[in-house]
Amino acid sequence: MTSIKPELAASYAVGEQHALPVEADQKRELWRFWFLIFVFATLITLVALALFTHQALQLGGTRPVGLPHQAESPRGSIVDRNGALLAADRYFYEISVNPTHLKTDAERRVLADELERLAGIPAVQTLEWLQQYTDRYFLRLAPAVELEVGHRILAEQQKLAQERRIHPLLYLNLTPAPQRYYPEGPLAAHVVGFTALLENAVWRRGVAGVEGYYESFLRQRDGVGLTGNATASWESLPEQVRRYLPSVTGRDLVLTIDRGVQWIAEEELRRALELYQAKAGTILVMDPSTGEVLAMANAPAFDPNRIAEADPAALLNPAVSTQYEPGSVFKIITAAAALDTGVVTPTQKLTDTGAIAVGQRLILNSDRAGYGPVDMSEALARSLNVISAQWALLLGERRFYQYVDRFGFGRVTEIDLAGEIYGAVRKPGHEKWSLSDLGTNSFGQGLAVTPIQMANATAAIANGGKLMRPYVVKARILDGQVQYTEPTVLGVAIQPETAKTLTDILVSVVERGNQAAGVAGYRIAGKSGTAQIPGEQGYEEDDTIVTFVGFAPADDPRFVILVKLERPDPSISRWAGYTAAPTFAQVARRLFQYYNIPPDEIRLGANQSVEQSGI
Amino acid sequence: MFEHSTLPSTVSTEISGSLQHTLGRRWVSALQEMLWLPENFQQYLLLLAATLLVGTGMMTQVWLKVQVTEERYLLAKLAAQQQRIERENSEIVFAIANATSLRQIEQAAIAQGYRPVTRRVYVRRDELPTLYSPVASIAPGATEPSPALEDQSMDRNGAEKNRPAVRSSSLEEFIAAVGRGLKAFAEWMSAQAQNISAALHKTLTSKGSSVQ
Repeated sequence: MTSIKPELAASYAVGEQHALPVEADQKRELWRFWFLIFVFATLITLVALALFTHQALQLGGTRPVGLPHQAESPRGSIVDRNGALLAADRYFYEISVNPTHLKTDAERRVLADELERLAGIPAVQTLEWLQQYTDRYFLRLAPAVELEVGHRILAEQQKLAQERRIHPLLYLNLTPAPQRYYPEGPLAAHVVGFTALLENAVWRRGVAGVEGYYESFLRQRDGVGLTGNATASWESLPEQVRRYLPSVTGRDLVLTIDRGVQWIAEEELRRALELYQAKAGTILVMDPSTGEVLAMANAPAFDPNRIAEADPAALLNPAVSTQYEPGSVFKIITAAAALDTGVVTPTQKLTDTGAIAVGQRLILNSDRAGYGPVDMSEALARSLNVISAQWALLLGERRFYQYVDRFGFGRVTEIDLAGEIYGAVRKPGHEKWSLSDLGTNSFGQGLAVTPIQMANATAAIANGGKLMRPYVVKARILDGQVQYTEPTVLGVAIQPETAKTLTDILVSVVERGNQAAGVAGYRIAGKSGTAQIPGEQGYEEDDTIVTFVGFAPADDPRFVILVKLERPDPSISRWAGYTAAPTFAQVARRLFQYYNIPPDEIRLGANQSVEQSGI
Repeated sequence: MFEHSTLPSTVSTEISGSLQHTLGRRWVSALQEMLWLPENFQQYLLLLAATLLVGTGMMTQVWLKVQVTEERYLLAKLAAQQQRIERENSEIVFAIANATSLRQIEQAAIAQGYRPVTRRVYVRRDELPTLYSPVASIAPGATEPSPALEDQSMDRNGAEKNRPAVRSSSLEEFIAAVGRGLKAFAEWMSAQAQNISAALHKTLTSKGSSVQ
């Protein structure tokens, strides 16, 4: 028996007498039923609509989804201090396909033919690959096609999609891929660096120069940000520097390099190499007051746009990555130490006997002659090894090497370029050091320096004794914020008075000993150095490395120039005074013009307003 | 099978006529056992209002979702457009940078007959007779390049060899040129003064006549 609810039972009991209430009740029940159906139907519809928004509306498209593939990470641009573009990204399209989506040979053939028609990629080659790799999920058909070609294919795909046609062309994936280019070609190639695909790497990365040193900053994907809080606004950059900035990535570098100065340095270096038949060379131009590198020219150079064709030996930046015995230019350091400690005064005369024994070694002058009593100016002008050794002996090894260290030798200058080396300085306490090293080191033998170390040490003298950290990146830009590189004083090498005295002495060196380095109308301070090249069997007979380092104008140094030439033809000249010194003069002369520096007579005259004319 | 089979015949006859009614009753009964169902008009209204509220909420949610999806689609479209423009811009930058590279500039300059500045002459302003005098650019010795650069500049453009170089080597020539410049300037000033005076006179005369 089934139990009946009391209210229903009551209505049934009086059913015959009260037929109408039962009917009304049934109607009401039915109404309730339909009402509930309506409510639930509404709710289900709404849920379905909500699902629709999640599923139907958010569908990506009709194209087949291949394996995720990331192209090269875009990199920021590099410009010189005046905004000239030195490195930037150019976009190409990488064409790839998932071959498993193409089921028949007919489809593969259609795709190959279409690619040939639209992009000029040989159909035979494409078809061969498609038939060969049918089971692969990713196949790169073209690594880099021009932007215009890519747009043509994309337009065709869009057209087919709109027509709702199933076409093999729709299976193509076009991934925009940036590629690095260097508009100035070999200009400043060693500073800017280049990118390369290293072994086992998926993407290219910066491996030399600024590209290498700032790899993590320049790369958009997984790139690092700015350090510290000292940022400036975007407007703080001069308008001309902003010409090409910001790049797509918003991570850019402004170099201290001046394209014009770099051009002059490279042109003069090429000319010097040709004139003196030298095998290699370096010209460095620095601003002594800040440590900014204005130009860094090396030969042989390379074109970073054609890195595959470059000589691997030329990829190294000799200005920071090669060391050499500096020779007599190092006497500047010995003289600076002697003056600063007061063991020698500028006018004090020491006797040059033509030979001196230091430790187990007999030191001679380069011309094997003796000049009797000479003061510091004459000793440097004649580049006397014997006097230099006497200064070192007067200093003693402790103080001598202390000054070698103060000028930054034997350690990295901390320049922001990849691949910098330390140089080689043997100091007391080293197992191979002996007293004779003190004698030879005093005139730049038996130790090795990099060109940037030598230039930076000379810059310290030009800068009143303050040793600056050399740098090539003036500002880093990230998302509209600019972080300038602050000039950093690494230490005080000598007192300002000593620097001034030494500058006057070096001016007299140019006027009396290295006239070839002079430029009429300007006071230039500098010193030449000719160094023999050490080999396995001792020093090589004829080959030399010649250097001239100096700064100008002497009273208010605007630039330091270092010229280094390797193995000039001995039949032309093996001496720095006849090779590096005239090259220095030529660079200095052009820089005076470039920077519009009037001759001393006019510049330092009572009336400083001048009229100029370039002819 | 059915509960109604045990009910009085009149009721059974009336409700067994329609299967739908029977099912309806069963569902209603079952629902009534499980859920709260409205019993009167007010309750119906309450349920309807609640349903409408939920429905409106869900519709709003759907509408918002559609809006968000639309905006997202628009954003994606704009992002794609931006990327496309950036890529095209990089192509333009590439073209400009190539065209303005120093090597290109040098070649263009050579093609137009320019040659490098080999010497710059500075003259004190107080020593100059007039400012921006054209003669300053042909100061003595100014056009004489150093031997090393002379060869270079000549080699860069063969046409330069045929061009007569501006040469002025003596101080006399310089002074004479300055004199000529000053004379020409004085003549020009005199002519201008005469013109102005004539124009002024004419204006004043015409004004005077109109007043009369």
